[in-house]
Amino acid sequence: MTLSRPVRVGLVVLLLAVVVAPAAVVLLDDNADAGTQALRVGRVPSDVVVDGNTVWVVSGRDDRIVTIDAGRPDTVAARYETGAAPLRVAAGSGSVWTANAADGSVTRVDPLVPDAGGRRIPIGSDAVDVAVGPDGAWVSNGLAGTVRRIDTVSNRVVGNPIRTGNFPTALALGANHLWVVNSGDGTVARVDPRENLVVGRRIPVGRDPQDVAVAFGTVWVANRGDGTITRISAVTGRPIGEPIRVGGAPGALAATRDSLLILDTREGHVLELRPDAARARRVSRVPGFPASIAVGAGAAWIVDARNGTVTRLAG
Amino acid sequence: MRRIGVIGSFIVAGSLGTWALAAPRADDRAAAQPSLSRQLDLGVVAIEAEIAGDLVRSSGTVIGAEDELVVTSAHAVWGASTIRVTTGIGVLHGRIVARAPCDDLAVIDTQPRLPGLVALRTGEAPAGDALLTAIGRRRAGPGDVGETFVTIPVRQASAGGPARFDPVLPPLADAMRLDASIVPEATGGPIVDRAGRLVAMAQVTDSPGAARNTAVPWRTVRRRLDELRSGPQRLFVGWRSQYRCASAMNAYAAAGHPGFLPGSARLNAPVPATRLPGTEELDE
Repeated sequence: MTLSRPVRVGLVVLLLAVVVAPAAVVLLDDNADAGTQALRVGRVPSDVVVDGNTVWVVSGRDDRIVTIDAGRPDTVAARYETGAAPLRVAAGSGSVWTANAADGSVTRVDPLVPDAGGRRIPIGSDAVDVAVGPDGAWVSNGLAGTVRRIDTVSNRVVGNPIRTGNFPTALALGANHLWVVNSGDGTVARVDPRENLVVGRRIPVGRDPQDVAVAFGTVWVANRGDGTITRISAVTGRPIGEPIRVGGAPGALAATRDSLLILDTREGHVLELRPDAARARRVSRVPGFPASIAVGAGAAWIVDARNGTVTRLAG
Repeated sequence: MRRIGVIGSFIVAGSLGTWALAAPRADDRAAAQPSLSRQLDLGVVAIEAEIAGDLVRSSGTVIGAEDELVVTSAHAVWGASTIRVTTGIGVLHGRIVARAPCDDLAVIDTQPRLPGLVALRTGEAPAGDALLTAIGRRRAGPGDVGETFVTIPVRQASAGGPARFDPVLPPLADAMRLDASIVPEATGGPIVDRAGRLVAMAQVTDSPGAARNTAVPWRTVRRRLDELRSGPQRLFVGWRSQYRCASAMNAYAAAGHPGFLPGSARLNAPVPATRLPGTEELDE
């Protein structure tokens, strides 16, 4: 049997398509789910935040932040020097802030001045997490059991340390309060950011709470130790219903316009929880060792410190 | 046509191979077994503890990769107001979650949780004079990661048994002597055999008159760790009987750090919240 030339060309094209299709998948996505793209960024990226169209990633072993243009995520756009071993990053007051684990400081970076060192602000204690709002920047101090406020005008720590509980770690600002996760005693403290006082009772949450987010009138807490999400009314500061079981080890949270994304840091699952839903829905899976998640520029961004990657999860 | 068929077969086979390599595996964490040097990078940590204003350096061994737990020498973190743990995936903050002062052990919980640490493979300490390596780690500046490890070749000089290694601390119930001294910064760090298996944990202090060649067989450490059970809020319980040695540990800390107060060594002391006067009892 002799095939005509157009049929032979068609067969070759078909075979090539079979070859090229998985190769393209390998280039863009060696992950478990379609719509993801892993980018190699820094040596130990441990946290990520998105501000406008710029993705900011802390790289702990380089003592720097690197940025990615969300429109061209295949290249590093700029680098900024920080203090020693930055772990967490936040954006606010026209700056980007890092909590530096090794020297107990916070670095304030001006996005308009890349390739330069930011302003180093000594905390006088450990710097575990940082959050920024209209009343200042806030730093949790881990073993000291306190949070401290930085005045964003003078770039100095002001006021006395605020005792919040045992080993405060994650911070979130919202609903006119600062919400502090006390990982050491499994509670959340609500701090009045103008009075520098804890308001109301500390709220018991689940085992080994690791992250907090404020969205849709609710404070959401990821309890890594028992695989649950605790909901707290942002108005009354009281728990809402029973914790929602999501399984795995929920270790990081990010809010989209209409739902909450939960990162299971053990299995790599990304789950979506709608504000009025009683169950979370699995939307994707990221291989490796995902550690933190942020949302912005039309995507979710997930860092993997061990593999040195940032995964873009298309919206 | 035959040529197209042959080429096509190669292409399809190659394609399937590529696809198979790219396909997600059931457990890509288990499949991604790191090299020996990477295992040490991810399984040995440097610890900096601030005790009564003094900086104390030691090392530690990752014991629970999923839980990000580290075991080290209790004397190196007793009464610490700050604990920094340098790992292969960043500098983390530490909190003591269990202590065994009689055996000079402390378990440290690292925060925030960064998945990716590795617990070293374990083995029995070889009999005779087989070469072992004591490994310590020290935090260094950026770009100095390769220089942060201290490796000391050692051999076992005497097998396990009771041994006093510090004039103030209680004697260890089951310790082995080594034929070389270990620097105090490597205390709490692993001693590995030639295959990189964890066989013992270094136990040395910097006290005058201390024996700097002591290690505890890993099977002894493991047996003690196996006594631990989950307690409230990620603390561990099961070492209550060890607290008879807490006063010796306090005496050791006071001798090395003049500003040390026994109250600072309380484990997981409750933190009263900063409140408006008159509302301090709200949480009780």
